[in-house]
Amino acid sequence: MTSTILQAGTRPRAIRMSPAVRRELALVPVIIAALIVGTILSPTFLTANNLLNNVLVNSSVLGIVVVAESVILISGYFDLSLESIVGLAPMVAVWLVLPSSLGGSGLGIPSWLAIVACFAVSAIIGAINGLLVTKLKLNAFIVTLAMLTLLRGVTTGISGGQTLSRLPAEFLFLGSARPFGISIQIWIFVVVVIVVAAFMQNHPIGRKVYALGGNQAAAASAGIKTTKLTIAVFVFGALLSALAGLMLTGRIASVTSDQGNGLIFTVFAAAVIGGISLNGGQGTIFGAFCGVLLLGIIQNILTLSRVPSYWIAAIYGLVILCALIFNYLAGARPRRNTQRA
Amino acid sequence: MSPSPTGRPTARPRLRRLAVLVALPLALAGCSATGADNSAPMVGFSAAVLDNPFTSANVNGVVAAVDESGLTMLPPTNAEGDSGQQITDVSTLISQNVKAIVAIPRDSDAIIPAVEAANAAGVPFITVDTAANGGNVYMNIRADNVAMGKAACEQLGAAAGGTGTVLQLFGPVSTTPGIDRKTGFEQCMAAEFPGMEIISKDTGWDAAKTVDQAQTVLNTTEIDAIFLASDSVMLPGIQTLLQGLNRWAPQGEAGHITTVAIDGSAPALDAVRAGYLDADVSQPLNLYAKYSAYYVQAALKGTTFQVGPSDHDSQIVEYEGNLADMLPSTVVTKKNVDDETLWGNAAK
Repeated sequence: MTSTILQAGTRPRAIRMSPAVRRELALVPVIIAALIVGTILSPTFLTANNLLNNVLVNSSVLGIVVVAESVILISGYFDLSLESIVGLAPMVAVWLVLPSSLGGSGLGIPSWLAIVACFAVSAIIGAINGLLVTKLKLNAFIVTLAMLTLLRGVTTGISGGQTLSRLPAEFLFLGSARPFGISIQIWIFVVVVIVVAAFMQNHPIGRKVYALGGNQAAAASAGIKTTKLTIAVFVFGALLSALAGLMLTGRIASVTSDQGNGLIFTVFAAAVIGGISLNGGQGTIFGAFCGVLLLGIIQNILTLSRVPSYWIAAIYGLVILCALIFNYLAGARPRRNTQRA
Repeated sequence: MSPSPTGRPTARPRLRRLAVLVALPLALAGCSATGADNSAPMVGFSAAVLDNPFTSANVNGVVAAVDESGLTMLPPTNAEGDSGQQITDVSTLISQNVKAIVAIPRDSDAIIPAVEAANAAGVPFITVDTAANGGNVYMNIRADNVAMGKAACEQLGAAAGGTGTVLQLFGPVSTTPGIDRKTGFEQCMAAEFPGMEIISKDTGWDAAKTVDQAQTVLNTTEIDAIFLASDSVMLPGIQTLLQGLNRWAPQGEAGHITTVAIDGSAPALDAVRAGYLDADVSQPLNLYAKYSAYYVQAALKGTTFQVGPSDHDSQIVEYEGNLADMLPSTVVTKKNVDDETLWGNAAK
């Protein structure tokens, strides 16, 4: 029998994935434990200012990419190139807008149009990834690794290695606006989590994504258009990542040529800690959200508690390992899925 | 971790689960033992990276100097090269009620929101080595990196006799040291040694990338001289590479490639001593540490500074709307390589 904490959140809808739900909710006590530890270690930790402006704001960009990656993982694929889109999308938009004296294109395109253009570029990238893994049946790892490198290179090429700054107000809005006194980054993050979580749990298309990742052959024979759905999932992931990139640019009031570099590792860590299976078909967006929250809290505690700086990364990695082991003990074993590599 | 036959957690796994639940906080709590509070004003330090000898020496020096001056420096935060993380680090330091913040920005532009956050909280913001391009910075403590590039060019051009091909391994132009050293070097080359051809490669301040770039060039082109924009990042890799090509020879021996670098790390000073490096421009790390403490104290007292000569043999100049104290750097050759004030000698 599972403990009462774990049982409390079991939802009737999720009978098919109850092991995954257990793993997802398993993080709630860990998050509570982390909150208690943080409160003991630092008087600053349990303040609204710290939890909102440090933990959540810093988690928002990561969290949105995690949501994007989770949907792709649930569909049975994965996309490494999302981190490059976090750099490329804002670079394209800013480059289109800025005059050549500031490192831009000098085309003088209005900001709204440039933002539309960068989303369009991202959608095309997602579609290409989706086509390559479905039509050509290429391995998603290699395709998106190549795409990661290509897009990172294009970003460096456009910028010439420079940081583009002095951005128009439309770009800064995503970093500085504070509706109801809370950073817009948090609002966007929370809305994205709620909308995507509800969609994946309740909308027929969301359920089809689970079916696709659970067993592609069965999904196809049940009448799901697997190619179309896969491409749509990749496009969706790319669009969300572009949004995350624009948010990061808003925060740092500039776009750097290495923006998003290395982000994908943390994205996978958060998703897997949150109960998303690397084999597809399992996990929930709420679980991934918990994974992001836990990593953000731990990062914050490590900064606040006076851990010697040179050891923080090691402790962070250790805590991630502990969380994974805890997750394993608390929930079901990861289901083997031999449908694809 | 044996799974129970039914796949359900049994009593023993539940115990283990509890054990992990207990162990996780303990793992965290175990690292907090050093948090001895005292009444001295706290100063925060936000580092961009901590993974190279130069930055480590810089960070350790500044922390020690600030602590010695009677203040308490919190352990430096490490943004691990992520500009977004550095903004959060500064924000976290502000929420710990520090009285001043010293930062080594990852990116001169991307640090601006962090400076503005410190301004909004009324916390003086001081940068070391890499400047901030905006916000209200109390003081950018810098070395004149354009002058460093120029000094390196003068040493290199003279040693190479003003002819041949020079490989310039430069730092990213999105950082002030990167762009300034490159600018100083190239302007001086064009003006004083127009006979030399320059091949330039961006290293991203990354040791592995430096070796990759240099290897390709050295294997395909005849190179007479090398300029390393940062010996602490680049020299070990370049030494290994040249040894493999049988081109790591001291001055006066066949095969010697004229090499000049900037930074002045301990291995670079050794290489100058042994004649492998013709000259090195040493960064004033000891002065960075000393004047970080000086300006933190000044900021707490509310002292203001103006453009003009400082009281310590340097020039305070206007830089991107703020003040910058341009500390002098030292050209190191065999003659003065044992000078104890060089940070590379003190770091040993």
